[in-house]
Amino acid sequence: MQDLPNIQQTTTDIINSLAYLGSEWIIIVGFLVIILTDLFVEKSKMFVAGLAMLTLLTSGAFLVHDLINFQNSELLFNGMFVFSKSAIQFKLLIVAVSLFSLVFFYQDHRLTKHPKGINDLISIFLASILGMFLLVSSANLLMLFLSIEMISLASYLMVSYNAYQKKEAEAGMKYVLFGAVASAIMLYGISLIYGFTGTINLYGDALIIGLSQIGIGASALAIILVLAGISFKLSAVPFHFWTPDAYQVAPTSVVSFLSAAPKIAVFGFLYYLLPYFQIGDTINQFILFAAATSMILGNIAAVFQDDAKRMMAYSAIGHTGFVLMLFVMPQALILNAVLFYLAIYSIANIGVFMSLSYIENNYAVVNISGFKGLGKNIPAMGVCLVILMVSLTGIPPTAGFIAKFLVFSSLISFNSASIYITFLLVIAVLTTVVSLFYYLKIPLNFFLKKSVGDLPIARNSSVLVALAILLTFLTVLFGVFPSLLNALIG
Amino acid sequence: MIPLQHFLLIGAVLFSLGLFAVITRKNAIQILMGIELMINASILNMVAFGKYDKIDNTGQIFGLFIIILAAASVAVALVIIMNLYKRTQTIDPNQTKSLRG
Repeated sequence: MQDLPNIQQTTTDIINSLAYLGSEWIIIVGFLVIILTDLFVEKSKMFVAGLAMLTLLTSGAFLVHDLINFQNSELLFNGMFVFSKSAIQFKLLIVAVSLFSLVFFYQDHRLTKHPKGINDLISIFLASILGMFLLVSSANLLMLFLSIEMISLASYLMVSYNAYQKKEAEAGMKYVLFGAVASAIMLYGISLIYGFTGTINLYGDALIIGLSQIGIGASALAIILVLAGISFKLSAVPFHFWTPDAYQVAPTSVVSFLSAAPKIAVFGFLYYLLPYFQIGDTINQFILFAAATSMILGNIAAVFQDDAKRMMAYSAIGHTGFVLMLFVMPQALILNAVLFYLAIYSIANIGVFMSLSYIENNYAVVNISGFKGLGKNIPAMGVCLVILMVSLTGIPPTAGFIAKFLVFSSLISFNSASIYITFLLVIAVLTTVVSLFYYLKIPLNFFLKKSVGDLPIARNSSVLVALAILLTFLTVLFGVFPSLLNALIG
Repeated sequence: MIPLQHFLLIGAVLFSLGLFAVITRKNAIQILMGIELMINASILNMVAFGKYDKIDNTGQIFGLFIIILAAASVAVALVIIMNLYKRTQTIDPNQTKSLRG
């Protein structure tokens, strides 16, 4: 029998690597315990909620511990998994977003009134967070494929979780079909890259040398196919079709989770990938194209929406384009701006969805034109919505302004006389102006228009009000003292 | 011995046929079959390229992972399509037009 030369070394490496995965182990254990609890314990709703909260907090504590103790990056599991400072920062951001989403799930009437209960959703939710952790840390195309599929499968199920009406079932089906096509396309790209370079490791020289030897046409084809699958998860423009439908009909809390957490994970992976794919101009041209079209289409289409969640979907496409713009620069320059923008965007976005869910729970209104005069009934929520919308547009003194300022300033200081980047900046500024029209439409209806009929006084979901006020406070706080957030994420 | 080019050609043809099916078919199950063809094309590519990678056998292992995950995602997709069929009695994506996207 042919002997296996590396088996001893490989096994030792795997055993040594196990200790690094503290936060991931915690999530795996929490996931299994929640599934078993749901099967064998009756009336376990509050127990599962506490357990999931505990899991996320412990996992976050492990991440903070890692962040303080490790400085250099290491490759684990024979080069499948990268353990680096930037990856931990992205993971911490994911945990923070997930904590808010977890509380939000229990306030969303569409989920809590589900006949089968909410426990299944929580276990799917934890599995998708595990997928995001693995995606941020993947150093290998196999890990990329597995973790993207993990996130995708979880999000298909979460979007269709209570699809009892025709529209909801239809959006779920479109989402799953689009997603499967995108991952099949990405898979073909991965197989081509493997063929051209003989390796699926993203680090090291073999990938770069192989891709530059094969010729510009073939390597561009392979890279674009892989990026297609990634941009589906980002909902960047050529693959954005699913976003408005899925956002419109999915439960609001699920939308707020899906609009923030998977994007952070994919941007974290893209950040790691960047130096290895920046051969020739392929990736830069693709990103230029995707960023420009996402900003234009997202912001302009949002102006014409009446459904509030649909409007937020197009706004999410626009923001994706805005962050994507940073990725035309070399890796070393962008980490701070990416993290800051994603943190601020997630805070504001979750806050807006919480307010929308509060309105939906109390008044059953989902259209912007139905918001007329609501500001008099729920003044606290109205003020929060105004501040959050101002932050999403990027007007001082909110944190959105600082985030946009960071992106612009780093692009301008990089601007190496490239006409394309100047062009991109012009588009970004113009679309920011356009975004003012639709973001401020909600406050306009809230406070300045007369209501049609008498509106009842809002009663329930005081947790949502508290959380929305907290998020608004954070937005203003980080807008006035941006160094606070910098100290937190750095 | 079959040369590598033949495998790649068949892979490319399978991928294109799958994409064609996805775009033109009017039935969600048929679209899923098209997706399956696209996935099989990449498995074929992987295994064909794996012949030149005798030490690590990355191609073969990747192929196994793809097969398993394809099965999982088809299971999820079928559940969601079944749910739609129970609500609307149709699985034609062109006839379900209550959303604009």
